[in-house]
Amino acid sequence: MPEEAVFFGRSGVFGLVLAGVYWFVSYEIVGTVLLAGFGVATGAAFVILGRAARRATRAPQDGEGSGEPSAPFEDEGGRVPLRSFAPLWVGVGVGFASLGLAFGVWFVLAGLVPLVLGAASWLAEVGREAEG
Amino acid sequence: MIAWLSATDHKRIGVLYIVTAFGFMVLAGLMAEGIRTELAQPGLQLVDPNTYAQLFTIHGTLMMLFFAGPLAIGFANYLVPLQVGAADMAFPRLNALSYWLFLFGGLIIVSGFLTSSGAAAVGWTAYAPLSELPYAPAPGMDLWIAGVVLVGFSGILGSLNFIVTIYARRAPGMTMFRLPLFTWSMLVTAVLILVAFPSVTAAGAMLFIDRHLGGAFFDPARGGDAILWQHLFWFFGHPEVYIVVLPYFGIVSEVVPVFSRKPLFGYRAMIFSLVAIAGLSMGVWAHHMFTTGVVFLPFFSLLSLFIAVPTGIKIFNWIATMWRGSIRLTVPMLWCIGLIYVFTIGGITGVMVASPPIDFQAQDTYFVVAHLHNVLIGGTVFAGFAGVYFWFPKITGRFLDERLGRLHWASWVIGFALTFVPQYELGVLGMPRRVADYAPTAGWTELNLVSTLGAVVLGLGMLPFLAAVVIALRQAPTAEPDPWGGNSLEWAADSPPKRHNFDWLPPIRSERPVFDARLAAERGGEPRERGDGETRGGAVRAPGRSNPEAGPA
Repeated sequence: MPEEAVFFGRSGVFGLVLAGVYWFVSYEIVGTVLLAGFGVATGAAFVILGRAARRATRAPQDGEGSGEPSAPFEDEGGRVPLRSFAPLWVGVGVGFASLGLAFGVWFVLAGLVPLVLGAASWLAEVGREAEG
Repeated sequence: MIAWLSATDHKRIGVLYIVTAFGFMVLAGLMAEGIRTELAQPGLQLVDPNTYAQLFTIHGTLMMLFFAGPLAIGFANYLVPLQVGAADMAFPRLNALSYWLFLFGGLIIVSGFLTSSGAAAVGWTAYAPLSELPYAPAPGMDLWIAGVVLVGFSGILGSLNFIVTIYARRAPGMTMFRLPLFTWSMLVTAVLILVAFPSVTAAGAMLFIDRHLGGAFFDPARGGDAILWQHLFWFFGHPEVYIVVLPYFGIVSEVVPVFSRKPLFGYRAMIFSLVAIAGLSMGVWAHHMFTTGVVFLPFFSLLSLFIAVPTGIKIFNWIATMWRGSIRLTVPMLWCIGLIYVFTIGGITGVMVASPPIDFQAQDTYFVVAHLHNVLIGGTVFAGFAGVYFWFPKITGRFLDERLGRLHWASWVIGFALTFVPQYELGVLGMPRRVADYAPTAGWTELNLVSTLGAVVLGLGMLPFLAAVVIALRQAPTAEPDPWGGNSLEWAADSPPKRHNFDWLPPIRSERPVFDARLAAERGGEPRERGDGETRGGAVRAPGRSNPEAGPA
């Protein structure tokens, strides 16, 4: 099991044990639910990472090999994205929409325009990269 | 400008985070100067009580959520991909979105000052029912909620990005126990953010439902529970202290070995103490609620005391790293030594208030204010400046002036003591926090005046730093890739690094690959010779090298 999965596994056990102890010393619901949620969430990450590790090529582990790669470094998918305004538009949209919490629904509607445009641009960029 | 607005490069986004965080720090710092000026003498001289409440509310919110954490995220954005040997973050666009949500969240909160009724005025803890509509009807409160929710989402998205980058984008040979301490600290912090931020984000949404959609989560008069807000807030709020501090521990763990010319003492113990601090921090939220009378005191007191153990391990290990080292007292190292002095005082007073009998006396007094600033300024600002002076040559290719840096450091060490040591005594004497005025007969005037003078020294102490930055940026870049004799992979990249970071990587056989490569080069192994696509002397081609800007438009 890779170290990164074990990290979450131990965190999950810690959270669940702490939730159990907390419940029996306090009988307080909110804190118990929050702690148990912490344990369950990190436990779920452990399960997902563990399953992924079985499917994927093994990552280098401590104590194995000399640290040198077995082959020249692969280009990890090889690309770093070019500039993109999509995140900015999505951010502007969400920001405007959140002003609606204070000033009314018109700000939400105004925020939807850049939000939708930004999201569409984002998806289009990702689609082109996947094809290219 | 267009390049910055459309940036997806982790380094540019990192710089954006760092500059924006310092912008919010300056803003919040000016508010602090206003607060201290008001308190220098009894009576209301500068602001009315409501404006004073707005100042300390937004000061706390900005410093906690929009300076200390985001400055660390800025460093992490710049450094984590470099330190793991990657070309960029796992999700570059998502990274950019995290930044914009953080920026707009901060601007939305500050924009409360532009409304006729002013910004939120309920303290950065926004306790219900004070934050409910009948007691805080101004739109500034809604803007505060919106900003907190936005920065919450920003933190959650950013954390996912860091975790995936660290797990999935590591270079060959970069095992978990060869990761630099700063990257480890960011991994642990990212997990803490994922666990803690949803709590306050949900609490903010619930508060908004209470205020405008007829909910009653926190309204006892309608069957709600005001203590529920405190549980949800502090389940985020206390881990937040460690979310804020742990990355800076990572910075100190990078700086001290380099300028002690020694490996970090107890590398694995430092990792386990990081994890232990994070784990324990999940179980101490209600030590902020001792005086509510509804929490089980021994549980939270015990866990709070336990946290001193792994924290003490870190401080001992930093000192042990320096012990018998060949110490160079550069400006970054001075800031780290300053941190050990300031943060340790904060840690010790933290142990004191973790004890319920003392906490019952100190609750809501200036003792707690002084403790919090000892921990947070000591733990974040001092280490943050250490990081700026340390990595400035990497980020810009230029050096900050050493003499101005020393002046900056000295004024902050002196100014800090002048500002906050008197506040401990004010707390013991019973001065409550969050008050704009006090009686002339209370006996607090002299101590408040000294504290205010200290705040002025702190404010003036920023001028040498700003001058050093301006002077450096006007000079031509001269920094070599590894000007300090560093240990981790960022020092193998150019200063500043290329868009795709690396053309080559040294072999990674320990947590100090660049040191290993330097040593091998001195012994004639020449592993740093640039590769032409083949492994040569252990050096390997790096990700993204062949086609750095090849992503389709």
